[in-house]
Amino acid sequence: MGMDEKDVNKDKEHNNIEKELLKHADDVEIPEKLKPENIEKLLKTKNLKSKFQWKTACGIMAAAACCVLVIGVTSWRQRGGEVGKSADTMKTSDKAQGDQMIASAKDYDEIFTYIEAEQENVERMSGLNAAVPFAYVREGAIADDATSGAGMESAKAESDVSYSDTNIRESGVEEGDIVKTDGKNLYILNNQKVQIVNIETDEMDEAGAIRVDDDQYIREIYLKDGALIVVYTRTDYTEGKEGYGGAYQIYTIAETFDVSNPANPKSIGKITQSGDFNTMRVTEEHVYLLSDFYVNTIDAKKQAADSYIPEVQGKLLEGNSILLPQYKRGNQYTVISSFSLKNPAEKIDGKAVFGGGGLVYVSGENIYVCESYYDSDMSDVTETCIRKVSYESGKLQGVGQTRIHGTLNDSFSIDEYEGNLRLVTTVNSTGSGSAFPIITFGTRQLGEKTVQDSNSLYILDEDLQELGKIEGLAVDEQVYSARFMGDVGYFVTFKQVDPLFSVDLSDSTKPEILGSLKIPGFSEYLHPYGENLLLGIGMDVDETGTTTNGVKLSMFDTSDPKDVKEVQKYVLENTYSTEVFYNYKAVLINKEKNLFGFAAYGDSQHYYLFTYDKSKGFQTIFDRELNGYQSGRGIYAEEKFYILAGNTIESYEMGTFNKIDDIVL
Amino acid sequence: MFDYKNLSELVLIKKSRKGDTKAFSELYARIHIELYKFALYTLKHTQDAEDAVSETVISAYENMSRLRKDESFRSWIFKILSNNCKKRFKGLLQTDELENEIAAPEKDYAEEQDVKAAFGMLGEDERMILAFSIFAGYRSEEIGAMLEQPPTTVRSKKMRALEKMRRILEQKGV
Repeated sequence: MGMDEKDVNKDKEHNNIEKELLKHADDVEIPEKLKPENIEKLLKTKNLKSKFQWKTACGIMAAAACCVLVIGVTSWRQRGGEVGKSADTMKTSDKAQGDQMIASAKDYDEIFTYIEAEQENVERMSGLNAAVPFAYVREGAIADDATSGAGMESAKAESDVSYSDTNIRESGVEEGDIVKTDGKNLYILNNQKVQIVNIETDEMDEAGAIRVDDDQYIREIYLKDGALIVVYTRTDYTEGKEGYGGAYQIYTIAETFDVSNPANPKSIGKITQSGDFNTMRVTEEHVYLLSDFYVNTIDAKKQAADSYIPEVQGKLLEGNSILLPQYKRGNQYTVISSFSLKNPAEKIDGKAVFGGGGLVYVSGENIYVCESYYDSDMSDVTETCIRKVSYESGKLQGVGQTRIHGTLNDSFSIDEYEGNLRLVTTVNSTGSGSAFPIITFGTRQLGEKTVQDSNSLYILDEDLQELGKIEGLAVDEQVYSARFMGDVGYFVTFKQVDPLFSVDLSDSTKPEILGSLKIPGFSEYLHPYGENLLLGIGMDVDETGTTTNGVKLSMFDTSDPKDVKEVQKYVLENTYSTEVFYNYKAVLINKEKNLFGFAAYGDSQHYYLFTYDKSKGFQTIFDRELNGYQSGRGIYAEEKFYILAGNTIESYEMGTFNKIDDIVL
Repeated sequence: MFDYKNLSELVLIKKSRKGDTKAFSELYARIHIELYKFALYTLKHTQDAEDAVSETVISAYENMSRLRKDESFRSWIFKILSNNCKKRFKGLLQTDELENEIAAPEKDYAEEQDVKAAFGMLGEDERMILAFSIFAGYRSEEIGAMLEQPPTTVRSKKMRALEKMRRILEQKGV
């Protein structure tokens, strides 16, 4: 039975309260100063009367805007000349001795000194008017952006059934998503449920479901050999004294179900750890679960270790499992635990990378946690602190750390290949921004631009020692996408036209720019498409760089990396965005089948499938409007194609794309 | 000249990044009422709300380059505003008790109506979540993204807040 009568009444009353509040807010009058027509004045005026800080902030802002223009003009003319020139104008942060030695904490008290430093910093920053740094990112959405290094086949063959699998970052390192299939059933994340739909006949059939409690929220699912891992988060609330100061704690849970009988999924164990879900990875039978644990620095108490130390399986991690940051401050952990699918009720290992949190990249052997960082007292430019944790059969070990110039665009900007780590970063002056949360030090106000923005490429060895680099690339532009493919790396920077750079990485000590191709628009995602072809998915922008014309497909011919050509392009008219730009899992791609697809947003959301032909170019072979704006996914299994969005699944015949069936869950 | 009113958000953002204040004003114009209502209900005082919004406008303009590609201007600026509101809460912490004893010189905006009064009795976090949901029309998922809390937390906090208001109103016999 559903809710009892009392609950229904309560619900109604809650609704009424919301309506009342909304009604009362109608008569709110916008103060004169905040009216849109006065905003320019607010931004431009130099003598704001009420607050001194505003004056400062505005002064800096005006200078920065001006600066951008000047740089824009000069760098435009100089581009190309800048290539390969190392930016010796940059003040290099002096790397302290032992900066590359990764260290774990002696005890909780040592960790608490970092928390205290963070508390002091928060107090200091809140006195400044300049934007206080805050984490802009939901790591779950971005940090696990990925795809495989070279071969990335997103298809599986099990017995004689062929079906698609999630597009991943690293070949051989599997990932969860919102839909999965084993060729026989579809598994779909649908609000509080994972629904299992049988697809063995033309008529789709609801075969079973797994439901989580109302206060739990499913984030991802992963399927392997009849075991379904459901990753969800739970929030516990502890009442404070007299109804005040209650605290919320977030946990990430990976619960494994035996789904060999979909009608009756059986829970066979779960792993629980502190923090909000970040990402998961699976190699062979081993599962790695990553979460972000934020410390409430205001309420953290030295005596109460549980207020600032993360736990795995109900136990606080030991100090020696917690890796300390390269700087003395911290309020966030990337918690990593591992377990085996053979015994999903027991953790194998648990570690936490302490500091400020950041982008996670998982190679075939290592987990890298990359934090954007700047210290205006030490360096004029943004930096990234990288910590490397090796993994093998579930065992985790901190192996090294370093710091480089610039920040990463997404996880495709960092790549491990034959033991070396290659990175392409956008180097901003400490006055401008980055895609990932920045840990701020130093006293310089935001907006003081001292160095031109540019891009760098680094090659580091397995101890994270620098082998080679190119600095000062594409001045005043920023990296929009990157792809490393063996000995060659490609990356796209954007300002008005889109240069695609190709870099020769075969000599790690001497990386070289092979060529650059300039085309209008920009690619946000790059994916190898068969031999000597590279697919770019991005936006088409007109020559002036101001009007976007729609989502754009580009095919680059890379047979001569010195002379990369855009051989075909196609613009999806009347579209303005696609989830692909920030989540590679939204792409279905299989070059053997010569097929790729994704959902794009226009007036409504459409799912598109494309093929590519050398002479005919891109062809849309499927275009269907989706209901609503929830993330859409395409999946194929044998001779059928499925689109899944929200609670609706539709099946089509491959090739003809005649509709076979649909089901609303 | 550009017709700013008809430009897409993406283009306005790109222009604002280059220091185009007209483009920025247009971005702001599209959401300014929601921003102000949110601040007013979260902070309870008109002057505080005005200060929080103007600070937000300035930081947003200065930091346009930090706006991530997958983020909308709307949720980004709301995130800055909610951080500015939080900063104000922290500043109020020490004086809070005093204020309850001595009537604040500025009239509590929320006291005008019973529903508003009940709203004013909620905790800071609760007010912020309800304001996000009611005045800015965000779903729990979106609020969670802005406040860096899982949507479940947001949902349960919202439920708790509404339930608290319901009880307060019940006591008053409304």
